[in-house]
Order: sequence, then structure tokens, then C-alpha cells
Amino acid sequence: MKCLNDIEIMEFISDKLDAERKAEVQEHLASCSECSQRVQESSTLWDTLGQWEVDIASHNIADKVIAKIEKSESTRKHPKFFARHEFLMDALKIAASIIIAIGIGQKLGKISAGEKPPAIASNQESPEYIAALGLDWAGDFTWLVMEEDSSSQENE
Amino acid sequence: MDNMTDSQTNETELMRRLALGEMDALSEIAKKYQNRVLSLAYRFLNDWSKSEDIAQETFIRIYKAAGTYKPQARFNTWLYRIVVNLCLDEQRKQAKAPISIEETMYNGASDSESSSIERKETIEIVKKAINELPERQKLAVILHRYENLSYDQICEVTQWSKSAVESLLVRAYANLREKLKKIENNIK
Repeated sequence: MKCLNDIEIMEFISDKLDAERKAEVQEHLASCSECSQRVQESSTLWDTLGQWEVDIASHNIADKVIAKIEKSESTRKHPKFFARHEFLMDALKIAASIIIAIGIGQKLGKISAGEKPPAIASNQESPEYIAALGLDWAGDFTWLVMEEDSSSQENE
Repeated sequence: MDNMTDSQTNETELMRRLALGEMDALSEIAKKYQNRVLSLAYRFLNDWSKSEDIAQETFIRIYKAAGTYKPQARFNTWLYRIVVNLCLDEQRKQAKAPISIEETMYNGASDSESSSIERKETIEIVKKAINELPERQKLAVILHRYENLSYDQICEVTQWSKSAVESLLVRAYANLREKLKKIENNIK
């Protein structure tokens, strides 16, 4: 058997060789003083490095990880109030934008049509959907509704 | 080898339970592996706070991966790969704001308290010698000497070639031998 390389020496010292290879190395070391010397030096280095032990007894990772995950899951399932509030604020902003757009559209439509809106009888009852939009039944908006109704009657 | 196979079967079963939402399984995995994860991270980074963060992040990643986990590689190897990647990321962050040797020396206050003064001095010199190694040599030595991984396992964990790992270890041990010559002479 030829002399050991550095890797084989470290594997021998750290007891990572299989039984057959280990026996071959031991046999070689018995007859090679040079390799024996190198093994001795590496073994001393191995032991010196081994003196650096770390004390991990005071660290409990398991409980911290479980707590962290459960907290994160809980936040995901039950969003905090401010998160819900933020959603409501967004919904309100969208609703306000739609109302403003309708108002502007209505004004622009009135200007471009240049027609006087049809009169609405003051005794006519206001439909619920007009009231729900917060509009005045006898005001500017309702002529559009009336016009639509009259055109559909003509089609019939 | 049988023990290794049994352990792998057990870990696969724990991951299956974890995928079903059984947190006891994660607790069992964390308790079993936290020492290895912490010691590797601490030896590499020399900072308990960062090592704890890395250990927590490792087990959170395991929890998140449980649903898609396939036992192709050994569980140990997969776990070490997560820790190594997190440590390398952290080391690169630290490299942008390097800490002094003095800070490094005092950071490991909770090393074995039963050590004698002489032993403590030896440990500090060993720590300093390892911390002065280039990043890849340092990681290879920690995995080989302290985590007791074989060359093949180090290749799997780091995804470096076998020749690269061999070369890194040979150079690392030669550097350490040189740095620690003084201590070895004292021991003799």
C-alpha cells in the first residue's frame, strides 16, 4: 500500500473509513514511520480543534418557532381591526369616485344634449333606487330615467 | 446504516404529519435538530443572536416546505443545506459591515463555563484561527470537524464538487495547523 494522502489521514482520524479500509491503513501505519508521524500530528490538531465546544443548553428554539408560526397563522386568519378598516376606507374611496363620475357625466350630458329635461309631476312618487343614491326625484338626474322609460315605451 | 434508515423513515413520517398541520411534529423535529443547527450557525457566525434567528428561520422553512417535501435526499442533508445557505447569506450581509476581532472574541460568552483558564485561552485561539479562514474553508472545516460530516455529505450539503471539498479541507487543515502550532507545542 502506498503512503496516505491528507484526506485519508483526516478520514482515518475522524473514524469515517469503512472497516476494510481502516484495517489497510492500520497495517500501513505499522510499517511506515513517516505516515505514522503525519497521523500523530493531524490527530493532535483534531483534538485541539475539538476543545471548542459550544453550550446550547440555554437556547430553546423549538418553543419559539412554534409560537412564532402560531402567531403568524392567527394574524393571517383574523386580520386586525386596522386592516379591516383599511379595506373599508378603500371601498368608500371607490364608491365616492363612482358617485363623482356619475355626477360629472350627468352634467356633461346635459350640456351636450342642450335640451330641457322633461317636467316631472310633483305628485309622482320617488322610486326607492333614486332615494338610495341620495338624489332628488324632481331634480336634474331624473329626466334621464324618464327619457329611458319613454324610449322603451316607443319601442314596444 | 440501519439507524440512519430508521431515522430517515422517522423524519419522513414527521414531515407527513407536519404537512397535515400537526405542530407536534415540528416541535419534535426542532427539538431533535436544534443543537446541530445552532452549533453550526454559531461556529460559522460567532454570534448567538444571529444564530438563533437562523435556527428559527430554518425550522420555519421546514414548516413551509412540509406540503411539498419529497424524501429524495437524506433529511439531515436537506436541513444542513438550509442552514448553510442562511449562514452564507448572513455572512455576506456581515461582510458589508465587518465587526472587529474584539467583538468576535467577547461574543461567545456562553461557551462551556466549566473550562479552565488555560482551556479557555486555547478555545479562544481555536475560534480565532477558524474565524480567520476564508469563508469556504471555514465552512468545510466546521462541517467536517464539528458536524462530523463525511466528504460526500459535505459535497451534498454545499453542492460543491468533491475535488473542491477535498482541496478546501486540505488547505483549511494546513492553515489551522500553522496557526495553532504554538498551542500544539505547549500541549506537547
